[in-house]
Amino acid sequence: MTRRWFIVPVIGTGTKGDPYRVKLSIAHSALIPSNPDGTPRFNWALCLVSAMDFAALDADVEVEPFPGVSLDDQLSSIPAAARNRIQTALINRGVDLTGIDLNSTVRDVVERVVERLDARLDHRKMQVPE
Amino acid sequence: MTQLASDDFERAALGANWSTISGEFAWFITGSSDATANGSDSSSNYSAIDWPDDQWAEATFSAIPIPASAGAGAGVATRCDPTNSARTYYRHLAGANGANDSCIGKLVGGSYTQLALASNQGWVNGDVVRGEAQGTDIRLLRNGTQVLSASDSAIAGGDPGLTFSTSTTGDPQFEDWAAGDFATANAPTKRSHGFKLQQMADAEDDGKFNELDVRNWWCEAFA
Repeated sequence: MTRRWFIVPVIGTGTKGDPYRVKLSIAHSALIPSNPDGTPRFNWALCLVSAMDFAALDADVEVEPFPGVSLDDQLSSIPAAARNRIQTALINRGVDLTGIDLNSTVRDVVERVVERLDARLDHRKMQVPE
Repeated sequence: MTQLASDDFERAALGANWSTISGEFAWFITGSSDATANGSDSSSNYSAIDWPDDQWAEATFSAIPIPASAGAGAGVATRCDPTNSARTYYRHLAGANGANDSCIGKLVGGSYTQLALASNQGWVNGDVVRGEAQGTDIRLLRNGTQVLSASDSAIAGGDPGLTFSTSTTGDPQFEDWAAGDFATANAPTKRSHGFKLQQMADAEDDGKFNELDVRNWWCEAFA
């Protein structure tokens, strides 16, 4: 099993039969901050996903994969097309990428996503089975 | 880590230490030995004491249900709204080994969000399901080993308890339950009172204090 990070749409209506959740049916941990009334603050979430095969997820146009094998990978090591895709996706979601450059790591970008969602949270606390 | 409450369910009824979460059914005792829930979403919180915000709860399965869908199963609750005026708490759920057998979720004012999900984690009858809420770190453990963890800030505090989310094949039973906090063992602190050893004089007047000087020692109480 491999673990990778994704930006995934939040679906559902918050009911027992249709809970707010990410659009995933495989093992994951999702960062879904709530409004005081329990509704999701955003219509997307940061997800750590564990799977043997990510082909279906990579093919889903609604899901934005974080490029790179590990959080320590520098953005300069990532093909430009993949880098540009996630950059556009994050800017469209209001993530502040000021100061992020080719010397930044995937971790630096993930931390900016967490700051956008809820600065009190910590991506290091998200864990799924390997 | 300190255990603050426990229950072995060796009696006829759950009793006054437990309350029922708003909008759900109560857990009850079967056979004067186990807590169980039956067919409907059921959550009970241990309301007999005031709980710290950082808390854990654990229970031992004596009957483990099979989840029929993601988010179904039985386990423990943390940070249940102590007033039970709103259906608000974290769910730490498990079910018999198979698809969607491990889940962390939150109910905030009755709205349900699924935070983490896993399958095939090996749960069997007799396992201890444990939930922890420490700061924004929300965890699910099986027999002391972490299965899932999520990061969330929606619910700051409340009571621990038991929870059951349908739909499952079979109803859950737990033979015991316990909950506590994450406080570390008491560190040595400066004494505010006690006794202080005092010496009046060096009896031999030789500049050394030894057994011959013992008659000149006394204890002085201070506070």
